[in-house]
Amino acid sequence: MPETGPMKACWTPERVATVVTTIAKMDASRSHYFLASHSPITGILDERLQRPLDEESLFKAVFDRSRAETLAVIWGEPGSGKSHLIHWLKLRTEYALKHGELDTMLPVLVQRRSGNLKDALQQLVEQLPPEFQKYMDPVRKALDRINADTAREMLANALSIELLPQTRQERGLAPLDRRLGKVRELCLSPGTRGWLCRPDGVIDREVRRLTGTERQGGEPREARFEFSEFTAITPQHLRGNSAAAMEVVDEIEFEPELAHQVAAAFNDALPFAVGGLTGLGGTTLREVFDAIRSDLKASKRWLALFIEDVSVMSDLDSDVLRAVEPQSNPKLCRLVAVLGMTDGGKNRLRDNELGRIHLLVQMRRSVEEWRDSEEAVAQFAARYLNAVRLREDDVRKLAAHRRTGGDVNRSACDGCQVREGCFPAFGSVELEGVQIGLFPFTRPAPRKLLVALDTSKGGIRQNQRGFLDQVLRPAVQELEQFEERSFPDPTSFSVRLDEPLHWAPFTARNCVNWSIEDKDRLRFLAQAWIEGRSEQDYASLLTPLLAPLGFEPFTGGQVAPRRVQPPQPQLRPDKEPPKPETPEPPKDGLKKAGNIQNALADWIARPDGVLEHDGPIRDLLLKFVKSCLPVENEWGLPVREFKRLLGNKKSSVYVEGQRSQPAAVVFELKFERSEETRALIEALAYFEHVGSASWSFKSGEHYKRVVSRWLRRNGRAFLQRLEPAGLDRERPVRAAIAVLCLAAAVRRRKALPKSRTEALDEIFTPFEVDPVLLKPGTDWERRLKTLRTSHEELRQFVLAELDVPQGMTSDATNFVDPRPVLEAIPAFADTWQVPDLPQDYSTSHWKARYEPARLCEYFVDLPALLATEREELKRHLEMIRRVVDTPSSGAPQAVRKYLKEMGELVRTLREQKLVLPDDAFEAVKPRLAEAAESAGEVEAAITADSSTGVEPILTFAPEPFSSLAAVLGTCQQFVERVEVEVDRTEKRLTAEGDPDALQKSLLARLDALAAGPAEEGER
Amino acid sequence: MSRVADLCRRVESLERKKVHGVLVKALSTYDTDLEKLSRALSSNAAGVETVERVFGPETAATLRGKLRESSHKVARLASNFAKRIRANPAFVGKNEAGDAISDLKGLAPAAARTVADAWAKAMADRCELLRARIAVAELAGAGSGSELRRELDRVQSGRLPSSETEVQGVVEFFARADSAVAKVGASQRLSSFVENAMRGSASGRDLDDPEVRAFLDAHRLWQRLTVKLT
Repeated sequence: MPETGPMKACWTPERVATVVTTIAKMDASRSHYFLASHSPITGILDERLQRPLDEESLFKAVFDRSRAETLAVIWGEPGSGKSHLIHWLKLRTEYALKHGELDTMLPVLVQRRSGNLKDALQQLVEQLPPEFQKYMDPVRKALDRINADTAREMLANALSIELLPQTRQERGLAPLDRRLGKVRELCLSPGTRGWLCRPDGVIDREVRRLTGTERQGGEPREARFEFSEFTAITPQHLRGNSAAAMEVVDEIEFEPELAHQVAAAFNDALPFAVGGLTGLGGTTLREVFDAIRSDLKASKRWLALFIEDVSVMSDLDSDVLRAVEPQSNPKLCRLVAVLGMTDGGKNRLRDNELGRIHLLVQMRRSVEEWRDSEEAVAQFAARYLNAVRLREDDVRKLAAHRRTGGDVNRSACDGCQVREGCFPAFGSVELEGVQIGLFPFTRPAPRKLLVALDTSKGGIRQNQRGFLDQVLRPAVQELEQFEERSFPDPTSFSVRLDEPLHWAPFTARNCVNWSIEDKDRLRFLAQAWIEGRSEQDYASLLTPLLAPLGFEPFTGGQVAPRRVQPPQPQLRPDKEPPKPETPEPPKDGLKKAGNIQNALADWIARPDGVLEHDGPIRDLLLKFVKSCLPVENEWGLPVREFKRLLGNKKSSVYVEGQRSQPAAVVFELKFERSEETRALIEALAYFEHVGSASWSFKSGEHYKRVVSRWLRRNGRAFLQRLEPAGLDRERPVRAAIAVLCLAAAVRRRKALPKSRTEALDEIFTPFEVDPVLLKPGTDWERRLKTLRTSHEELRQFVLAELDVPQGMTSDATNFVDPRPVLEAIPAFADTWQVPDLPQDYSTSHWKARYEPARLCEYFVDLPALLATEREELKRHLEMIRRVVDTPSSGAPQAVRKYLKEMGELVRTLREQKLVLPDDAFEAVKPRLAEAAESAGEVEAAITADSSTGVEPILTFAPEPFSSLAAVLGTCQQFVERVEVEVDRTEKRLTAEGDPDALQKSLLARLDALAAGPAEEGER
Repeated sequence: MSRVADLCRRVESLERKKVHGVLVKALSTYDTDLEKLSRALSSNAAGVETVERVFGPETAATLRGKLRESSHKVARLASNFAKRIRANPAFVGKNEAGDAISDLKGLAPAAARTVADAWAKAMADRCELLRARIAVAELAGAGSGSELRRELDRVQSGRLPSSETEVQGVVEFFARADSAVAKVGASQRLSSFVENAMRGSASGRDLDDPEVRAFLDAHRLWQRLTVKLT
């Protein structure tokens, strides 16, 4: 290891390409690499005996001479290593054959490769000696047949035959529900047949698997009929069907559960149909194998067949299984068949098929045990690293040794000049007496990276294949990264690692003036290369890695590098934990803080990174801004507005890139994606979870400074975000005060007092009673009612806006800044105008804040609003003048006279016993005298009526006047009524004969009669 | 006066009007009765004039003398009634008023009967005289007086004429009748004797009149005379 500068890669890129591959190196030219890097597979389980097996014991079990024929199935999830194990068995078999351990045996290996039947059978053909080629003619014919364009139609026909009740009976399948007796019609009727044979349908996919035209990449895609295949038939495919097919469709539509039975029936039928289609089904495949075995028997040879993944042979897996099952036929040679199978394929095997298998080997625990062992993963990595470093001749020698069952016994590190520095820094593993350095990893690194692989991304699994693809190759393939001091590059690994705890204070102290890239690299090392949870751990465990990986020394003082101990079985160094200097954090506090750190790391890493689990983070931020933003020092923002905007909902806090997207949020206090924000959140997380809402924890002071710095830099700016942008904050206050002045004038029916103090008192006096108006039901009245009901809110708005906060704990206003009020009162008194409030105040998050002040809009045009009141005043006056029959001058006296006469009228009516029921007049009758006393109000009304400004109308008290007018109006109506009644009575009396006239006439006649004798006498 | 004050006044007067209203019917009835009385009195006056035109002033004067008493009674009653009403308008509603009116009403038919009776008597007297003259004329051989007699019967059976035409017809008839019997030259005394004798009521002393004896002799009417003692 050089004394200065970073370490260089001790391998070549070509060797990386050769060694680090997930495709087994099974050809003769590369098999030594396979053996050199192969790790003994552990965790293999004999499922029948529940007995663990190692590779060698499995080999011996497979080739147990006590059995003439052996059928072994190795099953496990994709990537679990079953293929690797089968490859190893094949190589072990060849080694045994070469060294006389086994003899006269012909080994054949069918690899997965492109993953289709055509390729699988082709491999089988190619590995047999030329004289056996003739037996493959049926296979070739089958392959030609399934190339035909009509394959889909043929498969549908074959399915229809397999769905016949008698066919199912022959296959040993249970009868279908009687309602599905005609289910085969789905394959024959034009419409449903077209649906089943549609592109990318199950039949189409199966045909493409057979013909090798399946899409490239990924695992072979199995074609299975699903529930939806029979419930989602398109309308166009429901046309042109036979009655029988529609009968089945109707049954399924009526009872959708039947679709499951139909799918199961089709899946039962599919393997037989494929067999029928290819000509390989039934006994054909078996006859081929039997013929081959018969000939091998004649030539005193026997067959060892290794199929990496039998599932790729489409639905012929059962036929393949049947072809190689033990037969005890003396004409046939010995057959050892080892079949790899996915767990899905294995689960589809029927009991009778499982019963024919001699060895059922499970791989699942193998992966789990390997992944759980730091040592096993480190050794796995070491074998590959060693193979990468070794010269090819050494690899061959190593492979030869391994064929004998040994492990790695050659280390490229033997004799390396930098070994003395490399091993202490990066560690090593011992394999069969040799030490293999783990550079560029450390001992914990391979497993930590393995278990951190992000399985949410397509195709990544935490198994051997995943390790090679996603951990080892990114670490070793770019040699320049070591010289360029860019190793490890966190972006090269698809991993999700926990953020290191207490990392920020550590870097603040030890990475001063470091580049961001170096800080990222160092964090990555802290996450994956070491097992550290404290600043002390980081200092001691990372220091040895600094120089070899091109870092600057830590800046926080001399920290003695801790010597890396030889590999130990335990994960943590064998040392006593440091004595706690501060109270222990809550049990899960560090975990919670770590989770937040992890989320922040993913978020800050990329400009489009998403902040996952943002809820707790926004809770922290909300709590922080509510308690720490300097509201008290910033006059102008009411405390209640501050509380309203932030509330108790975290939706009021938004972190750029957060996962949650709350709907209909009025206000968001946005935290931009920045290192400063990340540091703040981290500090808050530690404060909350590690310090239990205090700074009394290790590194607490550091985090406290982070928060303080953030507040100094951003506090005021964040508060400003709560304020209306670009608007005069006093304008709504002035408008509101004008409305309060208006309310006081209307309430008092007087102008505001000249004294400012008294005026101040008056405008803040509650407006509790609806004002009396001359004309009710007008827009003016409605607005005044609104003013009264909103008065308190308006008052509180002004008080809140003028509040001089004395703390955040109470919304109560104890002190206000009176200057704006004292300026606004004279302004209103001079003009009697309420200013308007622009619409800008009704937008955005401040809309609710200024909503009370919007009341001013109701009273902007006072002259128009008061027009009805003025008209009513005029109308009342005209009515009074008309009633009392007088011009305006002297009206009060006329009113008094009128009312006096009304009193006389009342008395006369009473005396004359003329009763005219009139509720309205009865109500005012007792008030005639009182009304007469208020006759002077007429004078005030005349004055108000003659004015043109709003003030006389606003300050005119209409109640006594309107009451007087009402009395006079009622009197007038009563007088009219009395007049009508008197007219009517008089007319009635006159119609019967006017007594006066009659009397007059009578007297005249009498007088004439009385004069009669004189007249007679004169004659 | 203001509207209310005027109304006040009207209301106040309503009660009085209502009280008077109770008397309206009586007043109306009385008025009607008095009107009828007036008409009857007027009719009587017209009848007196008719009598005067037909039978002469003496007969009329006699009739007026008979009517004067009832007229005075009417005037007295009317004057008293008027005084009572003026003193108390409500008097008309009292029973006394009704009695007074009844008294007044009762005077009109009596006056009318007086006139009618006077007319009938004057008519009868005149017709009697004419019939006697007609009879004298017939006795004197002046021709048949039957036509005249029938005319006389028709006139006598008629009531007091009410129209000028009727009055004129009666006046002309009597003129024509007088003219017709005047040719006989019989004096009034003779005519009366003849007429009385024809009714059987002539007096024996009439025979002392030379003109009567001359007439009886001239027209050899002695044998047709009968004496009767009653």
